[in-house]
Amino acid sequence: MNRFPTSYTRMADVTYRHAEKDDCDEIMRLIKELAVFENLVHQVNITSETLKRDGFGEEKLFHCIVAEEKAKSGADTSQLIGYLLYFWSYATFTGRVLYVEDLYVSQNNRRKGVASALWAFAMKVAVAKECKRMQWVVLDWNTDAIRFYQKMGAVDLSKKEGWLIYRLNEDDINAALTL
Amino acid sequence: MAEFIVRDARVDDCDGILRLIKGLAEFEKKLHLLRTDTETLKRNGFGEDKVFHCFVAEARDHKGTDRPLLVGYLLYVWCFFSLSGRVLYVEDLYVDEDYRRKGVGSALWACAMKVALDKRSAQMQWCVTGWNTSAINFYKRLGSENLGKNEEYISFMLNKDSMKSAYSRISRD
Repeated sequence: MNRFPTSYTRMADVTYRHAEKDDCDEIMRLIKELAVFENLVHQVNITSETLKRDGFGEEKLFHCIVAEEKAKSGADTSQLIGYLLYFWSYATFTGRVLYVEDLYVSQNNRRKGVASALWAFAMKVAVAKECKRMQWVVLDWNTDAIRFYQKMGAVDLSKKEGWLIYRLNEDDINAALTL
Repeated sequence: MAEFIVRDARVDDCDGILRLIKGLAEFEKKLHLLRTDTETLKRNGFGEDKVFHCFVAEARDHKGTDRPLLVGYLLYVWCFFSLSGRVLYVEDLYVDEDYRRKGVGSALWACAMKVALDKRSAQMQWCVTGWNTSAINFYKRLGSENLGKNEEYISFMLNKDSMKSAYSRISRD
């Protein structure tokens, strides 16, 4: 049976929360890191100002959940080690959809449960809004991400330009959260 | 004079929009997947927390009840692609069988392109089923780019330049 991975050790010094406007510079840094990872750096056409306007202005086009590592000493500042960026979409035959645009954890912080925790946060948001689905795409060579999605019971929908599209329906989200 | 007008949808259009959604579901042979109702449309399109936007085509000189006769609709959502920013994603475009080949689809599409340009969208994007040749031809005539093809759906895109060019052509017609 597919199960959402819960048997990981949460990093004790990491908090998960909704992003704030002041996080935009850091989120932009992580977006660029994700673009490098996906070999799409030449396609980055937004800036921190775009994020501030479109995520925190009057008309919010997206929402963001961040993983923040607390400062280890007084001299350091806390920094973001991962983020999940999503927006609301709509499937006419069904209803509201939570569309995950980006999920990224910085290289030094992988395999520590950060992605799972970000995803769990997003699933709770989806359930609270009575979403019928979550949907997203992943590059077909990203086998770690693909394994992560398969373990949670997501369904492979289609293939275009080397992207795979996955979905968790309402029942799967509820089932995963009860584990 | 055209037999129809296009305008922003209103909350009391939801019954009419639902009828058209059923028409689209039948057309795509997906009626068995339809699980929505007027209340869901009202809440998600016209409530405080709305998630979609809609243009409708209304028949002129409709002699019948006092309610307008809706003959087509275009439903879209705003996306945020982290590489490009704001994108207008067209979820549905549908015209009643009796009103096809009269420019309804083009007029609805022009409304969407105008709002995409006014809001400085980086792109418009949408999908179409692979067997829908008349729709595919319409999109190709607009100058849309085919993003890639899988067996069932074709994904199209208009960028800023091709949107401007298509809009000036369509709104002249």
